[in-house]
Amino acid sequence: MNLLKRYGLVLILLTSSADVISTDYPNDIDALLDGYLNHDAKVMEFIDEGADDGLDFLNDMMPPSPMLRMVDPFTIVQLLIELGAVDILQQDFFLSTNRPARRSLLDMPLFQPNKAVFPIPCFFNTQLFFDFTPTARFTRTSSNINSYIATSEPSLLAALDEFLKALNILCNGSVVTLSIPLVLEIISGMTLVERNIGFMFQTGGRWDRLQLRILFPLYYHERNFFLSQNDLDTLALQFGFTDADLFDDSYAVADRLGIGDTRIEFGMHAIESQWCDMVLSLYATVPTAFAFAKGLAGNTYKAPGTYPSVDFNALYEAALAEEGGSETLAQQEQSYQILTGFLLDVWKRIDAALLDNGLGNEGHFGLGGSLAIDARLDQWVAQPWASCTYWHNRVALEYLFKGDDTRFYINKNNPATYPTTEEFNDPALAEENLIFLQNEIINRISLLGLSTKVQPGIIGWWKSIIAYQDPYWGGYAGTDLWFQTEEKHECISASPDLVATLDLCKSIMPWAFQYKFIAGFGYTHYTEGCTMTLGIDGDVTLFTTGVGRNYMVTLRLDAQF
Amino acid sequence: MIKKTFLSISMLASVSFVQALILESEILNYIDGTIVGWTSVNSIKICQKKIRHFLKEQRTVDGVSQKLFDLAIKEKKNTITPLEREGLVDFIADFVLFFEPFIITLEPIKQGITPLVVESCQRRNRANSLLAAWTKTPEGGTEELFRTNIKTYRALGELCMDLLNFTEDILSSCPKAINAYHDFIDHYRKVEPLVDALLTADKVIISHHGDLYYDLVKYIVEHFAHDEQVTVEKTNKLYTSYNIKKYL
Repeated sequence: MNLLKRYGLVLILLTSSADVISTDYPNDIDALLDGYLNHDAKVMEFIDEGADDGLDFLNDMMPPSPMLRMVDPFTIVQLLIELGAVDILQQDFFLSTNRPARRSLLDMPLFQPNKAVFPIPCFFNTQLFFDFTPTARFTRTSSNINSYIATSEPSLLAALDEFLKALNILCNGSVVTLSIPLVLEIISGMTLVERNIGFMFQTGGRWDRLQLRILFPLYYHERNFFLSQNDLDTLALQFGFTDADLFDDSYAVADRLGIGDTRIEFGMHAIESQWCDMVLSLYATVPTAFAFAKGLAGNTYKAPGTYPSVDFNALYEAALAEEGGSETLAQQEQSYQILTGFLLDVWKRIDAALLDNGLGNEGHFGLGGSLAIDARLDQWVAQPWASCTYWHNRVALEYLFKGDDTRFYINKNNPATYPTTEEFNDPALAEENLIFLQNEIINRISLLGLSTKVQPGIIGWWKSIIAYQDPYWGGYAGTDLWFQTEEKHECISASPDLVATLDLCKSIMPWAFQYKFIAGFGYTHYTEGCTMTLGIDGDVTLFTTGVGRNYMVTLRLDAQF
Repeated sequence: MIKKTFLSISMLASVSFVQALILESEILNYIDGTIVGWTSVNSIKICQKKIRHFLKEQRTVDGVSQKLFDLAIKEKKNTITPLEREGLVDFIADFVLFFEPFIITLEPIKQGITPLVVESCQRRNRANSLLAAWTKTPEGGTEELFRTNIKTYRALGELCMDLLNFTEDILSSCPKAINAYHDFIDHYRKVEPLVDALLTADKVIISHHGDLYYDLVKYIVEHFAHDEQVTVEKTNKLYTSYNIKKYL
């Protein structure tokens, strides 16, 4: 034992009161108060704040109140990497960005005449129709949104899960108000629904061997995302809407009222015999679609051709403040607004791609030809009823001319363009890396709506029915086959630099096919100078690809003069 | 034990006359220098300073500026007015408000420090004190305990006294932590110019107050105590490495 310790020990033995319990103050409050009253030096020392050890800077540390003024890019880059953001960003969020294929009302079988030869001299036909597609296709093969957005991709969900776990650790388990996995889970159960209700007007006539038909619809068109009320409530709440209906109307329904394209058909009665009639026609689809009103029950959506601007700095500051335990309510509110604002912008762009359809063929002028044949059945069947029965076939092909449409694009995901680990860890490149990551966050989930020269696919259809018609009653049943080939994109109205970054293949509308069963019946009433037929028609989709299974029913009033 | 006492007295003799107890609980062997480090010492010192500030702070009660002990004495002498008695509510509210950060800090480790509180209170003949009762209060019940049991200025003063005594006992019973605290101060003195330079450099994002500043200083002390050559480049590099360390 050295000398100093020895002296220390002596000192301890002499002065230590460690095991001696003082019965005086400060154990006794009365004695303490008495000492205070008498200004006893020891008591005054006891309650004197005095100076601590000169570490003044430590005095203000409780409670903590850090004040952030700016954020270091390198810190944020390292933070994002640590959270696994790079893994998430290298996943594809959009699997497709095409507009859903859609069959024009003008091509619907219930609006095609059931006879090759039109009445003389003229006719007027009105059909009140209701067309319903409960599950429209997002892509060629699927009516599940998972085929369009990677809401169920295991690799994305796993990366997201890791990200949130890391974020939770960083935030000391504090609750993140916006739950991205929950939002994705709800979205994965979402379906696309379409409704059309209105009138199809047809008029025309026949003059000797020539005939004419003009038709156009006046209708209300609505497309919406369908969710159960419970899911809708939850989703609305996640985006800060207390009123689920308001969220639904604002972000999940697109509708418009107006007229569609107009079709004008000239036909020539090419063959007229005892057994059959054949009419060859040329027709044009004129882009007259025009909406009188939009957003009646929902909204209209446009996807800008530019990426959104997100105030990432405010988010970082809030995140760091939260980590430091000093996030203010204003910061929380601001970061929540920024985050939901960004996601709602992303959502609106998806709405523009999937919901906001025009009332016609997107402004494309179409030219087509058709062949219609009515063959009397009594040439094959020697029955009395066969004399009133005929086999009607109508085949058509239409070419839609090129035109400028809005198509939707996502930035090409190319992990090879990411900085290497060494580059990410280089402080000199921090600002560049941060800008890269921020841009990737935006680019991965923000669709761009760009004007594109589109060559729509060729449309073809074949309607084949067996029809019975006596002087008063008539009816028919048959099938309908429709297809449209895949569209082609030519020129995109954007800078070549931007176009080079886009994933063009995902934006192409797929080819589509539909096979339907159709049937209807009607009663004819004769008056002087006019023959009126009132009928009901309906169809159901049997097979489909590219477009959804739709069902249509019409109430037909046909007048022949 | 002797070593512990020696260290304790050598550390504290100059700053306090309080007859601090050297607690003997086994738990001290595990927490001294580990869970209780220089930061804990610092926190305890701040706690003590706040309590003393609370005791000396004057409040207007019944139209007169008075301290807690002034009113406790009036209470003892039975010269307190009804309005002055009513003023206790404000004192308690202030105390709870001031004590809140400590409650938040102590709640998670309450079970761990209970043997120390119990020992301190028993050896000081304060086994029935409110502080001892606090160790048996369920989580979240601290404020309620204070509000329901402090009915007089005397009781509030007593709680302050017990807290001061207990914290002093803890400090005297953790020599490793006290050593670390003094080491930190010594190191800080060496790097003080570096801290100042860093705080005036372009990359500074924090004020002089709060956790980040506290962490930053701690980091500097731990890693740059022997580096006395301060340059702007070095401070920027230091700040960057601090940030990386902090978030990884």
